[in-house]
Amino acid sequence: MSHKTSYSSINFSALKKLYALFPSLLFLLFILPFLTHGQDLIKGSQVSGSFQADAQYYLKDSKMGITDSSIDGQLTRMNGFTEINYSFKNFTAGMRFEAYLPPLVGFDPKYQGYGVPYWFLNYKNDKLEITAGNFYEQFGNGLTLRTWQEWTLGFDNSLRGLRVKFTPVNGITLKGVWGVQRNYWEPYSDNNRGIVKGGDLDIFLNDLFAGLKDAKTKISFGGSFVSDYQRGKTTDILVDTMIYTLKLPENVAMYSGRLNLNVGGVNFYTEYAHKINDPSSINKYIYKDGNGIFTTLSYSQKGLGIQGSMKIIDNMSYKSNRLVTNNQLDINYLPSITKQHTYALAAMYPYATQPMGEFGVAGTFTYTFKRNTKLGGKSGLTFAVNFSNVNSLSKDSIYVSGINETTINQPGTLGYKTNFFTPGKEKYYQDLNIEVDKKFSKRWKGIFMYLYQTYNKDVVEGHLNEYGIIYSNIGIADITCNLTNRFSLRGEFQGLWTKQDKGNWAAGLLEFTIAPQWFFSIQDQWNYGNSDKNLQLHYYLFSAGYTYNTSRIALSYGRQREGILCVGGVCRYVPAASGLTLTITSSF
Amino acid sequence: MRISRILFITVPLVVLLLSSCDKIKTPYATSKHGNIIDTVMDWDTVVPLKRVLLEDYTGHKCVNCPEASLIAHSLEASNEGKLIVLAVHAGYQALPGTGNYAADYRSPAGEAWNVDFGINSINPQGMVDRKEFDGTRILSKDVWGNDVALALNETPQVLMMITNAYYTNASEVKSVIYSKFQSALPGSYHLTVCIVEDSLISDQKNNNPNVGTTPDIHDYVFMDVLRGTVNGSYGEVLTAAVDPYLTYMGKFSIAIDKTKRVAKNCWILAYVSKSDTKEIIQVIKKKVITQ
Repeated sequence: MSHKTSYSSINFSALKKLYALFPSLLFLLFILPFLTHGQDLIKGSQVSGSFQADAQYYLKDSKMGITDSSIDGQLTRMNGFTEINYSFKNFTAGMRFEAYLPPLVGFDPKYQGYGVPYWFLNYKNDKLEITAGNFYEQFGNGLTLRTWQEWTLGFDNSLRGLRVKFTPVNGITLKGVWGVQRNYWEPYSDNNRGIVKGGDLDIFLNDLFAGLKDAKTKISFGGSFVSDYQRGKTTDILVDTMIYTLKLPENVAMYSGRLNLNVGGVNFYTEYAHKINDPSSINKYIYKDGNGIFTTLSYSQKGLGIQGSMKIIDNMSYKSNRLVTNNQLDINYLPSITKQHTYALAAMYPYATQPMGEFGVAGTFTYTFKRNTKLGGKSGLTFAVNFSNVNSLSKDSIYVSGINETTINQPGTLGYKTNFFTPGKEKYYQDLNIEVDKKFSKRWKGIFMYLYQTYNKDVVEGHLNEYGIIYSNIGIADITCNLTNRFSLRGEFQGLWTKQDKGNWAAGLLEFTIAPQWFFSIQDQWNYGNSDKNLQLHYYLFSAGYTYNTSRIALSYGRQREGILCVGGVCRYVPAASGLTLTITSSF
Repeated sequence: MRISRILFITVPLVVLLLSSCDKIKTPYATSKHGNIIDTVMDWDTVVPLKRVLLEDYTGHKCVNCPEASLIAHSLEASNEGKLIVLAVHAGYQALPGTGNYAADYRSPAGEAWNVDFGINSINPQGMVDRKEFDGTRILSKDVWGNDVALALNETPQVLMMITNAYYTNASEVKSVIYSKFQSALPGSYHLTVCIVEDSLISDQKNNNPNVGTTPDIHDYVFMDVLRGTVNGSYGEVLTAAVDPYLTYMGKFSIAIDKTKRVAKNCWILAYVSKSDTKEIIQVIKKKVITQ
């Protein structure tokens, strides 16, 4: 096991003993039933799990600039994991084995290796739930704390330590966490990351008071407090030609309050979070407090849905190592309000949350025209409009006496002043998309989309005035024909038109499915509008897959274009690649 | 009973968490070492010289490029210490092929410049300080001499110095690049740092018998080859508000991959450019190992 955690500097002897005992407990939980009952598990126990392997064979592709040196001699690469959970009565134990041998292109090379980065032992009864080992947790919407894992991003910020969930009375839930975060395979030491601890209180009034149990109005509210301890009271930084010694907070705290109100079909949720001084590499060592607010208001009834949301973020990066600038060691999560698209060209320019400041609004309107109406036809028609806009946050400079200047983001100062409820002038992202979903007959159905996107490539991807803003029109038609009960054919036709960046794109896909086991597809993305004719490339991909019960194997051959992959506003760069890909997934 | 149970859990929790909060009072920072540059730099010893960068966009399959390279290096020789040549292998004619043309001298920065400045793989082409001459900054080899002479006549707006220290065991060069503006110039300026390598040997296409054998020059020696940038294709902001009384310093730790580079043939090249137009106002180059 390459991941080893050392707690030598923490005086928690009980915790140490628990960790020392864990492998034995895990072994007993798995092996004992087999010893006592042969191949039969103890009655009432349950084993579940999942498996995935993504393997790629890379080929040189001179047109895409993929050479021996960029492949670096590692023609075959693989990311894989197996997760197994065993539960018996009130106990659950689980573990996940991961292997990156070596990691697929685009994943951080620091993942190279294998081991068990995730394991836990859980006890749960009506009032109390205790977890020792690794765990994923979220307070409210995640503004103060969210640990989660996303395989496609190579993202995992799980906490390893203790988690307690206590329900003293019906309607009140208390949670407490204490641990250190995963950082690739790096063993924990006193200096390489902080210790995260936090608590959360959630009160659901309708459960707490018997008189409100059947009320139409549902009210819940809560609050959370999180603190990160990172050793080091001072640090030296170089600014221009001066070296400054900064005073550092060893304990950086964040707290939040939230309210959820539901009346009939109307739901209102709001959460506000505040972070105290947290100088870090990401905020250029400024001492301004951070603030964040996330609010949604929605209404739904049969056939109609309306939803609006607003998010304001100001200096809200919160990590358990102040030196880290990539996606690692995030303690909190800044929710995304922009729509996450799945069609290839619609997802070409996705938005990544800007923790240093953004002002976003979004809204969605969905309406289903009933069957046998003029617009609905025989099968009905669903119409959806979604709009989101994210601007910078309005910031004012401050006077810094030490350098006798009025500046923004001068390290070792408060940094700037914020007009918190005022958007800044710079546009980061805008997306207007209209979707029509129509079933024409038993055999034919289609999804049609139009999108207009504005994408500030310099801000979202972190460039320095190199690309500017990209304006794109996108059209998509996704048509499915059920040839028989077993055979179906699906076609996607997409176009992206822009005068900026790499110019126009066209994309098409044909997918033939033999239900429930086989699929075959061929697709191409063509950058026909690239100003450099040598780069007017086709990104073709041939795929086939076979599904058997809960297992699936898929093989594809072709090119992968360079781009940005985002999940929930968290993004990673995906480099261009060419070759053969094998994916196997299974669950049991 | 319920209240006591809740208090039993919550009070210690709140006390514990509230103690986990350090509010720092001003001043947050103190200057420790002062202006470190004043103590180690003596600009009076630096001759105020305007150096010029000639970028030669080339490729090993470009038949007219050996002649262009000859012109560039002749100009460099006749303007020794003032003209710096950078061979940027980029575009279609620099693509690696098979056999004697398998070498790949391209770099991400070179490819980006090739597209962004509109060179568009039509080699040989050049730029002199990325300045416009007669309305264009993409210059054919025939006008390089005249335009270099014009650029060299200008007054230096920035003075630059480089120190390189090479650490053999780590295969790393630590470069410190100092820049001092001669006046309070308006606007923002970038510093870009590149690795350049000499004496790369492989085949080169050629159609000029006066320069070498045709159609191929075997074992051609490529000089001044851009191998990459250290701080992004367009560098990083040096300053957005020029202060002529300050020395601007950039420290760089640059890995020299022994399997791909020969350290004794490598140079560190740095230039200061205008952030908006990308026009280069000063350039400097220094060998990684001087022995």
